[in-house]
Amino acid sequence: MITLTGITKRFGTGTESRLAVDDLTFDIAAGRVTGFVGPNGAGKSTTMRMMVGLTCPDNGEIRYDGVTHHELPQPSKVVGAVLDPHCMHPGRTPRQHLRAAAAHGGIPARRVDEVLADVGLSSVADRRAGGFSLGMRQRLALAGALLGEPQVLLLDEPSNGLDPEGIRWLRTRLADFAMQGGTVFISSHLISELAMFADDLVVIGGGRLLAAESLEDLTRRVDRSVTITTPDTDDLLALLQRNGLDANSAAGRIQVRGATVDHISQLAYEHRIRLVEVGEVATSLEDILLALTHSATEFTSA
Amino acid sequence: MHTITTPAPTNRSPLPGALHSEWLKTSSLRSNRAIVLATFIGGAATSLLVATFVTDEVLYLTDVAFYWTVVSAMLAAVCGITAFSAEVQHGTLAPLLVARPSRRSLALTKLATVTAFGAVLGIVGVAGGLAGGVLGGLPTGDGALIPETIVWALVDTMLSAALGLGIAMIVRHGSAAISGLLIWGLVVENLLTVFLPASVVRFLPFYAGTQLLAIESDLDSPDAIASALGRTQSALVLAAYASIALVVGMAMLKRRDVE
Repeated sequence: MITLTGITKRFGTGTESRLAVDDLTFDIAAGRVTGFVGPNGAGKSTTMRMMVGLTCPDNGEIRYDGVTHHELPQPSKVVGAVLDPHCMHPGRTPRQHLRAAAAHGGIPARRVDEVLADVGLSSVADRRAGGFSLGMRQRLALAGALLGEPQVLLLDEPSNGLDPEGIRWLRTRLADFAMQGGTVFISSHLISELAMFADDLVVIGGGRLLAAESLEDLTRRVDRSVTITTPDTDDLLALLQRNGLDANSAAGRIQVRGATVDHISQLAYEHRIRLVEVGEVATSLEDILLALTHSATEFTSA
Repeated sequence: MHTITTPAPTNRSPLPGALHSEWLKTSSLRSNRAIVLATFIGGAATSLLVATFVTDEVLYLTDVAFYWTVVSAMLAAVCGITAFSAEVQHGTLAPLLVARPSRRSLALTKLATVTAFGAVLGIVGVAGGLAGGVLGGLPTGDGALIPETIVWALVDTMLSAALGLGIAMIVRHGSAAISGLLIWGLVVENLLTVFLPASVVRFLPFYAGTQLLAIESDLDSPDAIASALGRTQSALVLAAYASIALVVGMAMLKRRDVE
């Protein structure tokens, strides 16, 4: 388990200072995919950088099963991180870049070809990285993170620049990694993407923790309602309320919360009330997360 | 229940791997090979041009072969800068520190690499200088002096590379560090040598580096000749600048966040 306890980071001093991360405490369970969600400027990247010692927290500590990143004997065998897809010299080839990274991390050179094949870059292994697309750079950065066969992957917006096929590949690759017992901590703006494969979600806004729970628990908050159009609005509304349903009418339509289309249709049929239109409306996970982060959003459109 | 297991500590030092990594990075860049080639060509061309066009005085290979070392030292300082600033500019510093968080180990391997590269530039520049001088038919002079001057030329280029690395660890921004270094070395120091007393000028970094080569020049004032430091003292002056830059750079590397 990765534990973050009371992490605080302030940038700048005096009146110009900005609290980027404010007393953040949460756990990341091992062997699961944890999504890290928040609006721009929420402190996601700062938090991830603090997790690998690139940014020094003002307060608090981060431990990997009780050990700080700095104390890990062979960090690349524990944590692999993709925090910036541009992290390579444009004059080097992927093979040269990864060979140097392997030597630096004390990783056998044979891993270079393995990870190149893993991320689908074998065919361009000897081409200079300067001409690579953002998607190829993302793959190469992921190859660098996988080099040490780490138990934990920290990924900051890894799907940026990937085409739909690349996004699907990444999703599958990360799900496989987690299936084999790996821990994935991934930030993304694409909440619907995360919802497809994350087990848990950590939501932050304005540097503060807003939620840290399983996707299942968050999904339970999804609010479902049925909207009905009928020529007998008053009769149907009275019928629904008599049956203990939370129904109300507005603009000639009835909205019933917490009911299903089947149940409403059956009631109306039994009481010979004609329905013109029946539809189910559900708030999405995205709506829930947006509602959670709304007050903490720093940059919004007018 | 999954857990994260901490690998057992190993007795193996991370330094050989880190040095191997630095060697792979240095040797894989075409720009570094181009600088080595340019250093040789520059040294050869300088000696050849001097041998061909300077006819009003007798010049010896023991002096002329080391003229280019002044430029080699400047190039070594620039390479010292880029060895670190390129890691910052291209975002490769972060993965290095994620894999091995020790800033001290990183600084030491960088120092070893840039001083070795400085030595390569020094020896290649002198080799070019000697080749050009021989090709131009310069008289050798006291040939016994050449090995000693080669050693001092290497000290000059190696310390200059270390100084460049220290500056880069402080400034981080490659273009700013390189332009600052070149303006200082090529303009400011030359102006200071005109306006400041010779007793102060001898403590300027690149002036001290040039003193290691013991090149005699008609431009040197009697004051400058009288107050000139010996080679060892000049080396200590340059080493002091490099050490200060490295110590400050190291402290800043430890303190600052990595982008």
